[in-house]
Amino acid sequence: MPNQKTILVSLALFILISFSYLAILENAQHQIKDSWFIYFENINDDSSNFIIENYSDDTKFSWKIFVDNSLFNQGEVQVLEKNKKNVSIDKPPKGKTIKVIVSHSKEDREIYKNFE
Amino acid sequence: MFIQLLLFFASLVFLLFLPGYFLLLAIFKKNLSQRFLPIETIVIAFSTSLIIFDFLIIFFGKLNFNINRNLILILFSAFILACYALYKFKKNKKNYPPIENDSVLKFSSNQSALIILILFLTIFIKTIYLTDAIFPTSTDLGHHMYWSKLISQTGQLPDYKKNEIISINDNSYQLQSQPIADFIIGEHLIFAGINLLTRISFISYFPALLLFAINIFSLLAMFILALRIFDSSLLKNILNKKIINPVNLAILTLFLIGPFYAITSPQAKFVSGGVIGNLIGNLLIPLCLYFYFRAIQEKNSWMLFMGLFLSAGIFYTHHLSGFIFIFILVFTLIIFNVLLILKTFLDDSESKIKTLILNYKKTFKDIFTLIYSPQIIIFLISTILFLFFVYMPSYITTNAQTTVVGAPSKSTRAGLTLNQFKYAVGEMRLTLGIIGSLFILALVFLKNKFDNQKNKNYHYIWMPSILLGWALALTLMTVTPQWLHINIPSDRVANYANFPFIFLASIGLIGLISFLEKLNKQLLISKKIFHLIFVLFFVTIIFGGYYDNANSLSLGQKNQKALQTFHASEFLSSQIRSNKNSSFSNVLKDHNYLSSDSWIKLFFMQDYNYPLSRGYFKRYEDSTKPREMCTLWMINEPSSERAQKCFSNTFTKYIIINTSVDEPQFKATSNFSKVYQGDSLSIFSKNNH
Repeated sequence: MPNQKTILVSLALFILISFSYLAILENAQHQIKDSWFIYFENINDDSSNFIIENYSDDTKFSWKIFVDNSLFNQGEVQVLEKNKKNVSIDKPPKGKTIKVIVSHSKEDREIYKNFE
Repeated sequence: MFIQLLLFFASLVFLLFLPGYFLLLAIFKKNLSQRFLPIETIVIAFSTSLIIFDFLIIFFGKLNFNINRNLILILFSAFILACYALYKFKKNKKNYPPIENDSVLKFSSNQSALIILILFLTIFIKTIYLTDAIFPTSTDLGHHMYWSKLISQTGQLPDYKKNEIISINDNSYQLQSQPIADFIIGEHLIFAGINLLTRISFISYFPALLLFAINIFSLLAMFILALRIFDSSLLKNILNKKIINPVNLAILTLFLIGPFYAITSPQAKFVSGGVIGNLIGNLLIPLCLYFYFRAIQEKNSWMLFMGLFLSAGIFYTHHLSGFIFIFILVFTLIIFNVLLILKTFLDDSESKIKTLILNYKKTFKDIFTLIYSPQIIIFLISTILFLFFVYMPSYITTNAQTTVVGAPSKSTRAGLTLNQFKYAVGEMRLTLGIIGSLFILALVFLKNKFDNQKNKNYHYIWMPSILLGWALALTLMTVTPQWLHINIPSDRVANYANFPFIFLASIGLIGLISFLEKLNKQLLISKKIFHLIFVLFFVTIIFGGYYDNANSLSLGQKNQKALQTFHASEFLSSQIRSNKNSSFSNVLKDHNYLSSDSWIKLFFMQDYNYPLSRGYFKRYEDSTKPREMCTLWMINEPSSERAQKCFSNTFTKYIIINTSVDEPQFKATSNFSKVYQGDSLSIFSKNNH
């Protein structure tokens, strides 16, 4: 059955090439691109420590912390691509809300904790 | 990555080729190469391995063995060795002569080249489609992978249950564990097995690639069924052997199912969509018919054994496929009886009743001889014992089978219109399929062999009975389900219908070509017109197929949106894990505006319904099936009194939503904190006070 064996070898080869290509492609697609995230370090306590995670090539971030809508602290931080940085703040005075606003590439994002 | 990929290929061979191959060796011994062509051996070994894996793991899982890598390695090595020992040490009781027809099934160089070309095009087109769809985003696949991951994580067979929100009275709710009928163990075990052997994440390429392999082998299953079913005495001595021979018809079948309808449902679209049950059903149904057909044709009980084994596999894998398979068998028997009776009475026999009785007697005698053999009796007893004392599929324990019988309860179950059916099957395939059906019927009634070979004549009726029974069962189930008293979504049944029509279309196309050739020979049409019509046929098929492929192509990558969802899920699950001291907190997410949200549950692994989900809005308005409203209220109006009640009754603390759509209502109230912000997703936390 030489003809049939050729068919089977061809089939195995097609599967091997196709599957390898798709697997490598999927692996490459697992990378987050042009994106950034902010979140509290601990979502269950009353601290304002937060983390910036960067997947863009712009590494400059500026942040502001408001307590009850009054500016409490601000600063700038550099976060390299595919890295994250923990921004730890002295404990702010007790208020009804803590709001963190992070600016990056002309875009502002906010996270907040309400204690009411 | 490279090592993982190697492990993936190795696990495919170890789990999805070797067990089936060695079982075939143990059963057919040295006759294996005489009984099966190499391509048949490969396809059967793959499918049989899948079912062997399911039954062995279910059996040892029920014996409280921990399902882990060691168990799989030891169990399957032992199985392979045991089969090899049986092959080596047990002598053949009987040396079967090579099947006389097998000479017909040899492939010429041209035929082989054509098969290779068709396989190349098929895999190439599917690969191009999957380039944008290989990333795990589909809802169904996410749901299924939860159960596979649960098996992999716990080492136990899953208990198919989920927490549902139950209304106790008008404004009070509670979470209650409810059984699920929609998931069946056979859909999940093999994924758990490959994960255990390779450690490749479930959120990766491997589930889709495994489904891709199943899809490729289902096309090959169609091909080998075509080889055998078209090797029927019905087609012999009637038409031009050069054109109408089993290999050409099988190649045409592969051509019609392969490259030109490579993407549409139930093909590559089902691979990326994670429609596991359908894909496995489409692999096993043609193979079961293949073995039943061969068992009858060759009077071989081991063929029947293989058919029964794979049939049992269908019922442990997918209830819809099992249900459809029963209808296919019933309709095959009906068509067989109708054809046998009609053929007997339309023939010029003097004693028609006597001939009919003789044929029935012979049929029953053959079937009885097939069944009354040690292997079949042992198999049937073992299956019954397995069903009642080892593992009963969840759809039986939950009585779900009773819900599919009865008058259609929804408009989506009342049947497709003929126009919808035409598009579901494929316009060209349906047209050629109908021509093929008429052609087969004409052959049955024109073939005048009854009188000469009274003892063998019913054999060639099996071929048209299977093909017509298969097509008729699925046509009626899709178009007029109320006639059959079935209550299942008609579009899902329609996905099975194109398979039988492909066989019939192959016959139809070949029949038309032969007819044109005859006209050409009788000088009724010129050679130029004959060639023009021939080219037009193929252009129409190719155009139809490519139009279908083009319509099915994906519009772009969804992976970045899915990665946003995965990032948020990873963050929240690590926060909840690190806060072990707190009481149980539930999560709610939205299904309408989040990408790949069904995969979120794989980050938590708490319950199938964890996180709770706000479903499609129309579902909350479905008068035929009233649903809980909490998941809708908790996102649409989180500060309302009824939503607050829902939050407290269901212990929901965290909500994952699309920022641009659903943030305003959370921002407007001080009851929530926003603890996470990504490109498009926010996570809100309900305050404790």
